[in-house]
Amino acid sequence: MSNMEIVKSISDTKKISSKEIKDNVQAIEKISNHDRSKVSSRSTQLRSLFTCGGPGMKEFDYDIDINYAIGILKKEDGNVNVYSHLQDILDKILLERPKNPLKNFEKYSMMLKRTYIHNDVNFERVFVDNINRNYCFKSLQMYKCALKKQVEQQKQYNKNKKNIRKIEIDQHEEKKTMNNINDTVQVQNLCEVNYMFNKAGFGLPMDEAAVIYLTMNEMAQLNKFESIRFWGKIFGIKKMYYVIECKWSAAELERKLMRVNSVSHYSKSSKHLDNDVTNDSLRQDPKLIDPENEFESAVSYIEGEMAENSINHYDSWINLNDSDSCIAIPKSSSKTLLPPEIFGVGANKNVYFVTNKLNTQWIELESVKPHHIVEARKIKRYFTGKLKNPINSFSKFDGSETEYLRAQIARISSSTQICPRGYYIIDEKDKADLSRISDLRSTNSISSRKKSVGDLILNENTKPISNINLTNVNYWVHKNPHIDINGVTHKSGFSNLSHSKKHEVNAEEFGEEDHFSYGENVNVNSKSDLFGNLGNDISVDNTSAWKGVLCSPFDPRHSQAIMKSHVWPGAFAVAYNLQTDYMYIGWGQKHDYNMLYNIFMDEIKMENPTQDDTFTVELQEFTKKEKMENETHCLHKNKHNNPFPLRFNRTKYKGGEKVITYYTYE
Amino acid sequence: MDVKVFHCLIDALNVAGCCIYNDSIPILYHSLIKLQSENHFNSVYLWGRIETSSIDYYVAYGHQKDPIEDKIFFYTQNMLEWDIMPTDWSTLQTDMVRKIKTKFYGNPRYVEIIGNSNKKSQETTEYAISPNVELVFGEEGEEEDNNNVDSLKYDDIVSVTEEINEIVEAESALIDDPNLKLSIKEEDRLAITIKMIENESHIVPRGYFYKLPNGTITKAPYFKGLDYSEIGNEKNFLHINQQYCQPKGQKNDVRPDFNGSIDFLQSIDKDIPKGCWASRLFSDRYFIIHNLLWPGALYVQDMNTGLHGYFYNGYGLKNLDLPFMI
Repeated sequence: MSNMEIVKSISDTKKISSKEIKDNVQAIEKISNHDRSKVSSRSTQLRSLFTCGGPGMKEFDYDIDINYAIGILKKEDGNVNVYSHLQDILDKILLERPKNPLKNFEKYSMMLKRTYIHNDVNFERVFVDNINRNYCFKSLQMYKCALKKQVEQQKQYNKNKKNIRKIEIDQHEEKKTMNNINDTVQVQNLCEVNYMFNKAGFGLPMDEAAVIYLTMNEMAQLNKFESIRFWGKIFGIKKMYYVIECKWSAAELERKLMRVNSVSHYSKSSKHLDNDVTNDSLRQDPKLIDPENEFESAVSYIEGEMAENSINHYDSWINLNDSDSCIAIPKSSSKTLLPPEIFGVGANKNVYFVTNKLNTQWIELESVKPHHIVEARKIKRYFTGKLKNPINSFSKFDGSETEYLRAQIARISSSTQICPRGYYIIDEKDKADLSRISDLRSTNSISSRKKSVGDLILNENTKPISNINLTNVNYWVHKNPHIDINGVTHKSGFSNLSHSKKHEVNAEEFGEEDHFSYGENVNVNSKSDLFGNLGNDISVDNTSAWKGVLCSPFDPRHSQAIMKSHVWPGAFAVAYNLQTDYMYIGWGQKHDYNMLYNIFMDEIKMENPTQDDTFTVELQEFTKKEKMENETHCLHKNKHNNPFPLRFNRTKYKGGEKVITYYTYE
Repeated sequence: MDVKVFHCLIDALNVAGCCIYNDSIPILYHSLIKLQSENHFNSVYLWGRIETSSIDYYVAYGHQKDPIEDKIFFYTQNMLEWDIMPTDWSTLQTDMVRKIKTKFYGNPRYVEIIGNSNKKSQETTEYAISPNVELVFGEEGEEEDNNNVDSLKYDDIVSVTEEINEIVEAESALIDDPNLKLSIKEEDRLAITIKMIENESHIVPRGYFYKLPNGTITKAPYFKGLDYSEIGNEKNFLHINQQYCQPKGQKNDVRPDFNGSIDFLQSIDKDIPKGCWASRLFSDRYFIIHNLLWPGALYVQDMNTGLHGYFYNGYGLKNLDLPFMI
């Protein structure tokens, strides 16, 4: 009986009740009669999974026509769909008659799926030699979806227009709002900007640019973001990360903050409820998709293998991450950890989406926690390209590569996102809005430090800076606030003196602190300096932190000006006339003058302060003088022992080209 | 990267995050063709770019007969006139280059001075050459003798351009004790650095070069690039430098399809540290290997056409932290 129940539950939820399958299942039941007892316990579990998936499902599934149900199952494109897949599985089970088919059901399903893919690959070899067809197909799918959506939008728009003609006054306002929604999302015009980037030598290849632009437009239609831009690429050892930077829209921010508050007040069950609400707002048809989500979690391990090959539906391009990272903190007991900054403030002002392959899902990174930034500063590691990868570094990094990536992104954006001076001004009128946010925040978080956030808006009265001046660092300013040694942005806005003093002390203490300090002698007077002038940046090895170049020295009047960062190799900004933009393409590593092991030594010293007496210090290293003496002594000794006469040595080096064969891997 | 395929690989270089200004591509192309015709080179390659803190160096090389031994390097800053790279240097100078950890200044006549004060890292690394300690000391003995020779040479140069030296001293105010003995001209440093990078990170696909029975090395005329089944194996990539770190043991691990005329170079699969090559396939078309030891060195191949090339784009600094980073 238990098997029948499963079948029922499956057929209930999946809306299959075809005669054929029933027959098949009865046969299975006969086969697996003997180990029914084992199965029954599992079956209840499974059933509960399915039933909890869709509470609202049972009411209306009986009045669906069978043919319609089959139609739904056959809806997927291509020659493989759920219906045929189930058919194949049952065929397989009947043919092979294994002992416990239910236990290995997923396995069979997986094996079958593999054969489908295999077929595909074999097929392509015949026609297009060696070009990965799947990749092209996926991209094409994206274009198709985009086109479809575009057409729908056009229709909607036309309909609205017609409506307006009929009932002009009523609809007028609604249309306005609709247009507003579409207009407020600022999508970076990647095609245009990429032209500048190409001039600067850092451009994206054409196919990448096109797909990224498409994705960004897609994201804009979610109506969750205020602005979207392509942040850059980070190379990993195995794969590459593409990163998109988005800013939450005000409504979305509010919703998130509300949720954080409510969660901190109520119990977990309320959180669950909340989750449902967000899902409702996210997707058009929650009833259809929600159970699927539950199902996914049950069979996620299958998905892991399949994700690479499955063609994603466009709805799932963007994997929004609605769990709150803000609450996760208090469970780590250490007192020193600061709570992360709230959404939309400081280092978490923007949200970042990453992916390894452009035509697969984009994954949202959680908001950055201050201790991750602090830890990331101490380590130096290449990314591997797998988000789940643990980080085994010496000074411990508490988290996986996801957190490391997010921390590095925060560091890079804070120190390298720049614009020419005067292009942006700090928005004053936003204050009221922001104070509300900070109120929300103070109720939630432990520390109630006030933060005033300067929101940047385009300065409409800008005059373009001449190209020659654009190569001068003093004409560029930081767009983002500095992240201090604790991993949070300090009180932002233009720096006042008392603060700059404090900061300088910090910079002295921690010699290699991140980027800029506000020197008092340099003019920090003007508002147009936003978050600090580039001229005040500290570099690692006594040269300037930035380098300004004209793209073509042969036509300086009409050439773009680039600012390249020496501290973060790969970060750059381009400006031409009134256009300006920045991007990062690199390994995500800071250029360090200090070698890593020097830092290690300091760390060890700090770890065991008890051993820090004179004795150990003497053992550890010679003083400089001693070292010199020792050297000269050695040299003298060797000089006397030198078996070759001098002239031989000289002629040896006078000779022609000398190939350097051995030098050490120090 | 061969000048002839230069234009075709620009897109691939973009994927790899390389940096040639679009506007300078035609200029480089023309000037390199001129370089080839003037020097009667068989072919000319754009080797790479050294980023400096002011004007970058572009580096190219050409060869007349032997594509491995006869390479002649050139560098330029204005992309129009190519200067020949110095080829003579002493061990002292190479030692110094190894110790310098700063970026290039961007002026070939700039004199880098290593003060005695700021060399913590150098001190620790000096005696780290474990296998042949006596040899090292022997060399140092020689160095001292050479110092005289070098300083003599150096004085000749200084007498010509004494002003520069003074400017330099004024500029490097941070170095407390400028010691003239330990100074190196940036041109020499550039040459040595490039030789190092070339020796360690320049790779070619297997089958690109082959050796004729009489010992001359030529490019295989019908070589089509590696295909998808071959790029996954590090044994299919060979160091262009013939003397590269040859293993001491006998060749007992010879590949099964050993071919004497092709396999006369060292493959990269035994390089130290393990995992210093990161190879990936980008945007379904470009196969790119990054060398992590010399950040910026990369081998690139377009899988559809089989065009391939080597390029360096970086600061000319070795990544000594690599073992901690992978």
